[in-house]
Amino acid sequence: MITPTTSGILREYQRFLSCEIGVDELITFCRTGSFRTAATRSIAWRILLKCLPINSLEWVPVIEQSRREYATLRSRHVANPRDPLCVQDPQLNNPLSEHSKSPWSRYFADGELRDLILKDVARTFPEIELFQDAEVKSLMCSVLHVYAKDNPFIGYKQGMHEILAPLVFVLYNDQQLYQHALEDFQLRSLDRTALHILQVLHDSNYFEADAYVLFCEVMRELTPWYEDAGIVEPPEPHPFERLQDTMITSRLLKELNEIGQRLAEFDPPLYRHLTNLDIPAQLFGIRWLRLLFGREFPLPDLLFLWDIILSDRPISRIVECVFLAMLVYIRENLLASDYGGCLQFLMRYPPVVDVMAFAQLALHFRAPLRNSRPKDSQLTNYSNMTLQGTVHPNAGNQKRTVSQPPPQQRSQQANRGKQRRPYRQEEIPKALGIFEEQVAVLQQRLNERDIVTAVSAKRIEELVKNLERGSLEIGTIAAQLREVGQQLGSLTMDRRKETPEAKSPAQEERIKVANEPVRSGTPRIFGVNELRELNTNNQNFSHSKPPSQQVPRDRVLGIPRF
Amino acid sequence: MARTYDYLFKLLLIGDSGVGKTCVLFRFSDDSFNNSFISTIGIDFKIRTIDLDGKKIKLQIWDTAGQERFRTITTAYYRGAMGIMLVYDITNEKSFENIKNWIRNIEEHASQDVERMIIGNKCDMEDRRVVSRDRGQQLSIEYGTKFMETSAKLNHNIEEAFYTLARDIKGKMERGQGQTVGVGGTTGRYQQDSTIAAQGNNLCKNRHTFHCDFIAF
Repeated sequence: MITPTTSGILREYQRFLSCEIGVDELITFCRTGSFRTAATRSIAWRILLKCLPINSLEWVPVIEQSRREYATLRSRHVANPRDPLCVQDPQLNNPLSEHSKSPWSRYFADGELRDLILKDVARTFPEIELFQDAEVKSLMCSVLHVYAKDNPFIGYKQGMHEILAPLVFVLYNDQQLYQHALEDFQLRSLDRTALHILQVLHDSNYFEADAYVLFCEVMRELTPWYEDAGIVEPPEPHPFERLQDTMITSRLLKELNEIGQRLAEFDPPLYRHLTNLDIPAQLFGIRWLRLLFGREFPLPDLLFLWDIILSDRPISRIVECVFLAMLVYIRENLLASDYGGCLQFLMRYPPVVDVMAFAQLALHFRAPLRNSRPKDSQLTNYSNMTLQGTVHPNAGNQKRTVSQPPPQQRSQQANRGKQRRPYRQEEIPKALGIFEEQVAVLQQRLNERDIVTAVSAKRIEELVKNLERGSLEIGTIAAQLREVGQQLGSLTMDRRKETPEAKSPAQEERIKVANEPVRSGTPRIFGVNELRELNTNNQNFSHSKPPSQQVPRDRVLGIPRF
Repeated sequence: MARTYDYLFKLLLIGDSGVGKTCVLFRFSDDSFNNSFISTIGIDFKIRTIDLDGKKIKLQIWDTAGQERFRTITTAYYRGAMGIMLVYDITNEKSFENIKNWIRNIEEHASQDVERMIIGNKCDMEDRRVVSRDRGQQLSIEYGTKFMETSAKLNHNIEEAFYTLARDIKGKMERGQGQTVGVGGTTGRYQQDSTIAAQGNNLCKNRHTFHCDFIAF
């Protein structure tokens, strides 16, 4: 055991400098949490991301090279017209010059990008003081700016700032630790070569360049999740397709779709539950993936998760496993919750208590034979708390989620729950963000429903015309009506009816309520039950017709969910 | 083997450099004391599992560096903490005055429902004392926290401080979970016996001398 009088930091440096650590050991250290309190995480990440070779003697030339390259990039992309190194010709370097080579024209053109980045950077990890520092903010802005300019096919997208932030934190942390250890004479026993290497490595003058190099390497892995969905249209856009069905062209949504399929293998009941509630991974998972879980874990735990993720490149497999572990981790909560409750848990993920056990679960999914599954008792979460420590919106609502009252009441109760404690001034922006997110999700669902109902109404109208004119076989009309009815039915809560599980009287009651036609002031098109009746009535006709006249199934709606 | 623990609590030690945070932690985790501890660099943690009212509680205690240099970094560790011990040195006036700043830090960066406790360490050095026990107590009343004077060197009140903090968190946890679990009949794996919360205020019976200068609320 390392006693507190022997310098742990010295030992750590020695291990890296003497090349005692091979890549395999490094991966083991990452997975066992050795870097949770270490001063060398930035070195480990640089090696894992191939920014540094494993041999410490090659570090100085490699790192100096990458810093030079960054300096070139930076001067090319973010020229500051006020910089004395910039063109000094007053004809060119003049804010009023309209010459295309004027540094000012580029400066003004980049204004929008700069504002966009600054707006996000200003809101990065507000609870961590480091990110309130003006220098750190400006550093992050520059890195993101250079990246956006140097990668025009992807540019800057929201979320990248939260990928950069942990990297900046780790680099800064290790710089400070090194400086402190040096000033505290804890590195006296190192020779001059070793000290020189460490000095170059932790040189705070090149903080920005080092952050950029790391960021680029991480983004190399994440680019597929940030790129645009592309303009590949599905060959025949379908009237009833929903978000999760249509935009599969994007690699991010494809990835999420695959994760959904893997959940079906690993935890069929949970998969069925989420599918029945119509909660696809796309609904909550975009943020999980794009930020690499940055909002779902406190930073120290997140860094440990990143140790594991970065030590298993290409990262998509391990990320998939972390994603699954997150779902399985809160499965009891999800299984006991209705639509709103599940969304709350997924959008405001409850704090993971034992991040080591959580990581073990993810690693177990990655390689079940090599990594045993942690004990259930270790997999605790505080379902009554949010990550910020406030009361979880689902706390105290268990009664509601079990007996599930009709949706009209649900929103009222949710409001009541939130009024329990008034928001403090500084919490308001955060709370607003969460509300906006949820409104966006609900809005999107409403839009989907609007489209489906509008299209259904149109189809029914056409079928009625056909019926009047007698231009179509009754059986065909019946079949088409049935499909319209099914599609409308699949929009409502009563999809649960199809699940084989036994239902409590309360659930039966709820289903009955949900099935009742909406009697609000909104223009009525058709109630679900009316369509149902229409279907059953028409069925009598269709039975008398030969089955060959049925409309082919693939013409309508049969789209897999999740 | 039964479950390894019932709860895991994350605690955090903060306070000025040199007030003895690492010594307090080492006394609790390893029952040892060393006069020549070197200063903590960055962050470290220790684990000890304790028994509290029949429950196994795993304490994961994070020790932070007190230097100004690390202040912006250590705020990252506030968010996950469920209990925070603010430590000052009774022989160092400045460290006591700075408790106010540390509390402001907590209010800015930690969860608002985090359990807090103020610790006046080095109470074995009575001859060099500059902060009276009354002033410590006064300050803790002002901020609504518990208060104890400890000596890591003499092993005075160290156990009690951690047990008290753990008990407060446990009480809060169980009240919170009682709200979540039970009513609807969900059989969560962590359903708690509601009587335990009621015992929350019984001070640990199996402990010997218990010098507790705490103010109950």
